[in-house]
Amino acid sequence: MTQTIAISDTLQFYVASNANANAVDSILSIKEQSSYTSGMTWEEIQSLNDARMAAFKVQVDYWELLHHVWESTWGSVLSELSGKVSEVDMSAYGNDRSLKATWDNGSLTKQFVLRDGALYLRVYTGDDFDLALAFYFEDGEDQNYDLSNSLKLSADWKPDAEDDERVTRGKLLPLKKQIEVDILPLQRLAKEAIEKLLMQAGLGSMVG
Amino acid sequence: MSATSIVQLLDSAALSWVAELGRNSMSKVVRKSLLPVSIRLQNSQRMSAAHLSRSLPNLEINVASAIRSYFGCLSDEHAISLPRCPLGFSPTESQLTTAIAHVLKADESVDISKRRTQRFLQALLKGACYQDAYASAIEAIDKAVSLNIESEKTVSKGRRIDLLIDWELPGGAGFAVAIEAKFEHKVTSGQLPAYRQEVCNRAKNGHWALILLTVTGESNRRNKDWTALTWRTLLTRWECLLEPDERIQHHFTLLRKLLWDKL
Repeated sequence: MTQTIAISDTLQFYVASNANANAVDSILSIKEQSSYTSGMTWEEIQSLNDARMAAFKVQVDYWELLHHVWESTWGSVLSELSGKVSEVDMSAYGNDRSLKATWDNGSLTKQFVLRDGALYLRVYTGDDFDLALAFYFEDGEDQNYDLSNSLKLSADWKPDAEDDERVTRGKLLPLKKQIEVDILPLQRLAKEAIEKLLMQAGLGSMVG
Repeated sequence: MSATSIVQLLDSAALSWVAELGRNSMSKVVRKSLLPVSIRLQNSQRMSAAHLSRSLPNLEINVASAIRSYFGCLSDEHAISLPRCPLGFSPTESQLTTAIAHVLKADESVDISKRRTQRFLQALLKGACYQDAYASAIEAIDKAVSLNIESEKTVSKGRRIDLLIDWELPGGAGFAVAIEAKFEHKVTSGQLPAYRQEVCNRAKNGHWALILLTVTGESNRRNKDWTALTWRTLLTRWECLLEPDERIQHHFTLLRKLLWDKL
């Protein structure tokens, strides 16, 4: 059984080499100022415009990939719950959901209200552009992360929290040289994490 | 081109959803809001099919093409492909211009020095109003009777030109290029007139160029004879002008990477 997500041509290009990735990053770092075309020929400006549009497309595709993976993993599990968690108001995110923030952070996070605390569920790409999950629960009363830190999770989760966040082990789902990725392993890990968290929180088994 | 023709073109470009909406509402405001910024549908503007087809690319394919086209020579030998240099500190403007002068002088070979200087000047002066006047002079550097490359050249009252390149050709024609190079700091108006005088003195027959090289490309209003150029434009051009064997000379490549990292 598989659950495959296609890796766009743009992202395949980005991860194919350091030259490609650094080139795109360099284009994205250009700040829009009236003088950045100083000294350029018309042909160079047109070429740069095309390159900026291309780099922007890479950024958009990256956002869409993370969002798609989030919806297919954490989102899929949460959809089976009935009212135990609710997402925070959109205003709580500030600008964290923007293209730039997602790109710069290399991750996409959604925040939920669970019991008397906050549940953060994240999808990100590691240093080798591999897909990974992360989560933590912040207790509203005690302001600690004991509930999620203390969970006993399977081997594909790192045994200990990192900065009070539980993360999947590295290089679980590499994206380099891939045209698609089977996220079924991440779906299973997301389900495991939510099930055990709810049990630990005394909310019973809510996932069918 | 009629509105109907435009809608037909959009259909063929696989943007049928835009065309569908366009059929339902042909107002100028709706069409403008639906289409990419690069396409401006104005009642008085006739859009050619070729222009429209270029403005509606299959972005999945064109990303690689656009990025490679801009950089011109994107490969593992391009300086930008190197990881960020782990020096533990960020080189100053002075250190970088000194390093540029050093690689241009290329102690190991006069021929290498002349070739590197030619490439650097070609990248620097491309597109400038005096490009044509300098093109042949730069090509002739390999026959120059003298070639001087200096960094941090003191001119007056402690002021220093970041980079000064001058050369003399057989027959006595002299050329000089002064570069004020900035990364973090702003140019102060008082600096530039002093540098201009030095460059005039160096160049015989008045062939001199003044380049203000910055990250943002800002010009200096009080010194309009200085041509503004961004480091990004210089580095992109410079990389493309290098021969493959030049691109992989280690210290030279490292310097270019350090410059890219400053952007």
